[in-house]
Amino acid sequence: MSVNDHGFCSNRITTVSRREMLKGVSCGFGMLAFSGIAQAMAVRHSGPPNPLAPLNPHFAPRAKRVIFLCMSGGPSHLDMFDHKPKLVADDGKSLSRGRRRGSKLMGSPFKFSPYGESGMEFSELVPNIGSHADRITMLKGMHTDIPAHAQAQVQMHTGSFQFVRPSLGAWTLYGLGTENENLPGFVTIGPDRGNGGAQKYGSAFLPAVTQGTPIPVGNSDRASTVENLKPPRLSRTGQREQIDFIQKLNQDAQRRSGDPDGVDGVIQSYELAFRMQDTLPEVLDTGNADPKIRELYGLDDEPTARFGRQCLMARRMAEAGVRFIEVTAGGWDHHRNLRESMVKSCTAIDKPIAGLLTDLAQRGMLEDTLVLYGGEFGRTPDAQNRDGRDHNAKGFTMWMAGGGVKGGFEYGATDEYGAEAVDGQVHIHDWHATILHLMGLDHERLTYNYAGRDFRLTDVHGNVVDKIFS
Amino acid sequence: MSPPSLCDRIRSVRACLLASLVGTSACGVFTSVVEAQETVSPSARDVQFFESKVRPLLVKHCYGCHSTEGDRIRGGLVLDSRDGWKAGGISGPAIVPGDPDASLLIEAVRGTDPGFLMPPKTRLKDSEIAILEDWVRRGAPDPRIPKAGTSTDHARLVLPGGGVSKEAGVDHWSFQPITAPGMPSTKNERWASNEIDLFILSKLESAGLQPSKRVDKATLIRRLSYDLRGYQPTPEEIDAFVSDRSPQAYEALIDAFLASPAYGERWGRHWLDIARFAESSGKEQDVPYPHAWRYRNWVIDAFNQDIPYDDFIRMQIAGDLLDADTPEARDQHLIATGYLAVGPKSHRERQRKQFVLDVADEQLDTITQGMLGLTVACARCHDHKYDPISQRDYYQLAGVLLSSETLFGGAGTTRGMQSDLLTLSHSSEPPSEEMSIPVGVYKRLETARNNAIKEIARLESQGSESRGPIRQARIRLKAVEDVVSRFNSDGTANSSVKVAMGMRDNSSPINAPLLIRGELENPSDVIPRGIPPIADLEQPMLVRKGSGRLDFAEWIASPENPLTARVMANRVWLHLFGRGIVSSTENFGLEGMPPTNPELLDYLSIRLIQNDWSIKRLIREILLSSAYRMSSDDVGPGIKLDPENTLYWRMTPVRLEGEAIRDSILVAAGTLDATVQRGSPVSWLPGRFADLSYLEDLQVATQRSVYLPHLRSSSSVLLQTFDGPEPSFVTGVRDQTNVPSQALLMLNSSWVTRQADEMAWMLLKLDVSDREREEIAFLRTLGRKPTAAEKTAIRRFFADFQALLADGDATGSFRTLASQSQAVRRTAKRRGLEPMPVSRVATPGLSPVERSRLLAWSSFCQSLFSTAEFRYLN
Repeated sequence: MSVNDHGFCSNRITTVSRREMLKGVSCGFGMLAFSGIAQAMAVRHSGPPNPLAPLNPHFAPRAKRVIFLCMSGGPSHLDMFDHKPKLVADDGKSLSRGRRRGSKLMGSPFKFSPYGESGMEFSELVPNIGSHADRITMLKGMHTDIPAHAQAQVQMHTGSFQFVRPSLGAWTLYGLGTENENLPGFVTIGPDRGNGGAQKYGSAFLPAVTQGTPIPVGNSDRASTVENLKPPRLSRTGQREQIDFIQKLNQDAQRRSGDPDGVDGVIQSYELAFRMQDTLPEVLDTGNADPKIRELYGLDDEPTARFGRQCLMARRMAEAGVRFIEVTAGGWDHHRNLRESMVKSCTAIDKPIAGLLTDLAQRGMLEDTLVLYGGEFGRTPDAQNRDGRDHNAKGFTMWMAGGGVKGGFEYGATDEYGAEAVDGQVHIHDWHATILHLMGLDHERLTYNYAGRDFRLTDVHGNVVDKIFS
Repeated sequence: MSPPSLCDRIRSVRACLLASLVGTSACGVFTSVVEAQETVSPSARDVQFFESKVRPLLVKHCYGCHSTEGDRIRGGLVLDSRDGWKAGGISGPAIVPGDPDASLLIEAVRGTDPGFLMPPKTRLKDSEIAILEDWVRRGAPDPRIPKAGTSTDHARLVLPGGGVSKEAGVDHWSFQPITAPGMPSTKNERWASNEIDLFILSKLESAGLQPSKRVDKATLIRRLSYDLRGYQPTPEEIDAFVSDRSPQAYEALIDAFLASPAYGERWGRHWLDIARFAESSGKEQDVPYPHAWRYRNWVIDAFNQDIPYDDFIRMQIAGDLLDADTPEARDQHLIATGYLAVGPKSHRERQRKQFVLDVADEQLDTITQGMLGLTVACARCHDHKYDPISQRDYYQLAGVLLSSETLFGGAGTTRGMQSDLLTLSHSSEPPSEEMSIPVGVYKRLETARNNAIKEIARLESQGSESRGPIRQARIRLKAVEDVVSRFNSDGTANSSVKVAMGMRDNSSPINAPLLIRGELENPSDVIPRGIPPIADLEQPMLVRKGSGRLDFAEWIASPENPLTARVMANRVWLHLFGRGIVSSTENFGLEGMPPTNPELLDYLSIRLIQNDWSIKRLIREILLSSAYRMSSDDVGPGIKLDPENTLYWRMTPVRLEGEAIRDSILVAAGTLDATVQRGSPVSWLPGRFADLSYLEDLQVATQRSVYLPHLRSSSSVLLQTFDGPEPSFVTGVRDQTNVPSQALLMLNSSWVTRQADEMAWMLLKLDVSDREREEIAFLRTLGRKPTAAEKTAIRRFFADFQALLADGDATGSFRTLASQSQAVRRTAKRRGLEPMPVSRVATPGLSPVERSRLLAWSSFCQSLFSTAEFRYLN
């Protein structure tokens, strides 16, 4: 059983009374996570300067944390969110112009229907996400520079496909710090190894502490962990004994040292590590979720179990004060067998994402959690391999929910076939600028001086899309 | 969808209303033709007309988006100079002198096409448009900026944000010739051991500070051992040094350590940080570089042989162009140019030209930051914002690198960008010295090869349906064959295929055009390649022969170059004092930090040059100073007056690098394999089909850290966790964090646990008392015996831990332990690797008492590895 899933173990430490804390402790081992947080707060006042202590944003933020649902491979906007009746009507017609001349248009084989009061349209592949229509801002005029996975993925994460640059999460951590010392401030749950790999959560020239911690996702509830999180053979008591001995030596050394702050940093790092061993498995172990939560995220159904676990971990991380959480679902590169594969890919994410939104809303967290959905690009309206679609960087859909964005709102549009963004265009740089703005950061002021000049996430680009703000 | 060109440019295209006009440029990027510059001097009347009518209009309406001084330049077009509009933006030249109707600028201000109105939204008054039309009709006389290429070109660089002009910039301290400073006089006449001390002392005295007391000998030998060898002294070495009362003892110790091969491994690694060394391409597709290790070993050997630093530079930039007496020397020169080839690369880049430009940019960035302390690459897209480096200067240098070919390989590993490699002579090294491939791994590769051949035959027999799969199988085959060809069937290296990464000159050198905004599609004037007048007032140096790489190398390696010796002397100082005299080690430019003791820096630079650029002699001189022998634990008045220790009133305590921490664990455990590794497991990887996880298994290896396989996407977790450098950047100063992930690693990693087991095993085998064992353990890890208080703590630890063990409370299941150990063995076997011996605590036949004792001692040793003291150098 996890106390987390009962909703009173939250990151809003300052609002938790001592009474609640004690009540929590009495809940047993599961509450160690919480007591760890409380301890971290106590430590904060006496310890060395924490390089990731929370920092003030540039202005009042609309969101305090981000959950980025990253769809790797380029999901087809045309079969999920961007309804193109004209494309369906012209199905089978050949393109008369351009590089893809002769290629045949393919209308979406999936039905679209309106959802919510807004009547926003979703395809039959994502009915559960559709049920959250009134919480979602749909960005239908997205575009990016390169229709190749690796470059587009790296650009989506760092702003540049040409140079090694810090990732969005690292910039966010650099700008805002994080609220829970017992957990990393930036995690990426189940990142794919390829397409830029670690660069997608790297810190590049920013301080190393801002880089993301990858959490490989296991095949079962208890199988997800981070490196070196478990003692290979000592019990908790045995390891505590060992740490006490180390700390005794460290305290003596501190008295002799010419760098007592540095030694203090080492001392604190062992205490934090010891607590993290309790906190993190608690967050990562989805086996302790109660049946309602399991049902909400689809943890017990094979098609949704994996992504469901990722989403539940993300919610727990968000609740515990992690600043930037990325969740990756792969397999969206549907060059062939689209009719079949899209059903599979969408089923895997539809219920878990809807569950995440419901869960966040029920806990009152959606208003200050920015949920981002998107892939590195979209797909072409014309068919490839008869039943597939090629990469399309010129027009695709991403969406946002919670964290200060409008609900039931559509921004931008592609042309009548969905090939190219023609209205309300939002480039990846604009997307970055907008996300930072929602977090209370001015993308032009969030700079880091490296190798003789100030760098920004958006380089010399980026326009904040303020029309989507609630 | 046509794939857009791979360039930043596209983003500006998007921002620009002229996007639809983007087309291919008539001017090729690489051309050996140097365009003649036309020279037209406007008449006095024209100038008057321009200044009174035209310039105010341009300033008012256009400079906001089209000036080099603005925050952003839209569409790549600048209108604040004649060259600006002549070169034009991404749509081409903005003005056709004499023909308003053909001039884009006029078309834009007229706004006949509403989608193409400039300035956007606000149309100019008709009278204003008329002025501009009149100006263009007159031939667009424009007195702003003389033609590019003369020295006055630099005068226009009045930079934004209070920056400096090129002329003002040359007054900057680091661009001045290095001059021998006068010896300062000091009040204290006893402290100084050599000249270095006088410079330190004089600064301290004027700041009202005293140098710290001399450090004790045990701490001194530990400091010296880490600084020169990268790991701690043995108890025997400590004992010998501490008891040696002869005045020559210290000097003899320095010489012994400098002569140890470990010196090159330590100082070579420092340079590998500067050379952003790694064994793969990084970026979006991490292509392995199986031959990169040759450069790594060359660097280590170069430090051990004390190759003069000026030659060290020449060889790395232009070794292929140097004369060599023997084939062996020639090979070494070629391998040295690997410096320019091992950088990060985008093999997936589709445009060859863009790829080549990016590689040249990366090389220029590495050379100038690493060797000159300048950020020249800032000038790729615009004149440097702070330093007197124009965009033109950049393209002069870029031309030098673009006239050379970078040989990085990639064949058999990627379908993306590939190149040849340099062929070495066969005799350069006895093949037996090169690392073998484990026979098991070789066999697996052979099997994979045979399977691929069979697969191809099978697919081919099935006809045309399977073209895709056949192509895949062929690529797989090529990758495997590439590895197999490098080794003999007994696993030894095949000496008939010796290749290296590196450089060679193109058959015909070229001059590169200046690219506006650094955009491939935006070429402007062709710039003759050469060495621009950076950092001195000399006239630009033109290339005498070939690419000009040798000229470039000579220019850097010249004793006249004011930056080279200073930058390197500062690096040497940093590694011995924990803080550079210039703290921004890669930036000696106007935005860098000034030296805290300029006279000392110049003195060290001059000594470096005078001593025939010998790094060892410079180090030796610094080590013989009293300053180096100050203690680090002084927390006296200096802490308040100079907390950052910028004046060196004490030794700065530093947290050791991951390499030093890892190597020290091996030394303490007695498991270090000190042999020089001439090869790399990266060369066993069958291309991008490599399963990299088996490199992780290799981390159990006991070789020195500098030899661990180092892919850009995956390298030793321990080294990364302790702030290993990001190998895409030149890293002069490592971070020194203390974070929980390091604590988790020290407590829980199987590698650390295993080394602790080995150390405990070794201690328990000794025929000594437990008290003596404890002392030996302290000496081997911390270089000292435990204090009385620590002895008490040790007693308590063993008592409590044994009690827990007795209650069964201290450990998890031994069965788990044994099965984990077996699982790792199975993994190793499956990958064809020599399985490690089982963990010591899982040794069969151990009695429960013996096992408990081993476990307690192992935890004790691991605790010592985990202390702050172990990872700090005092």
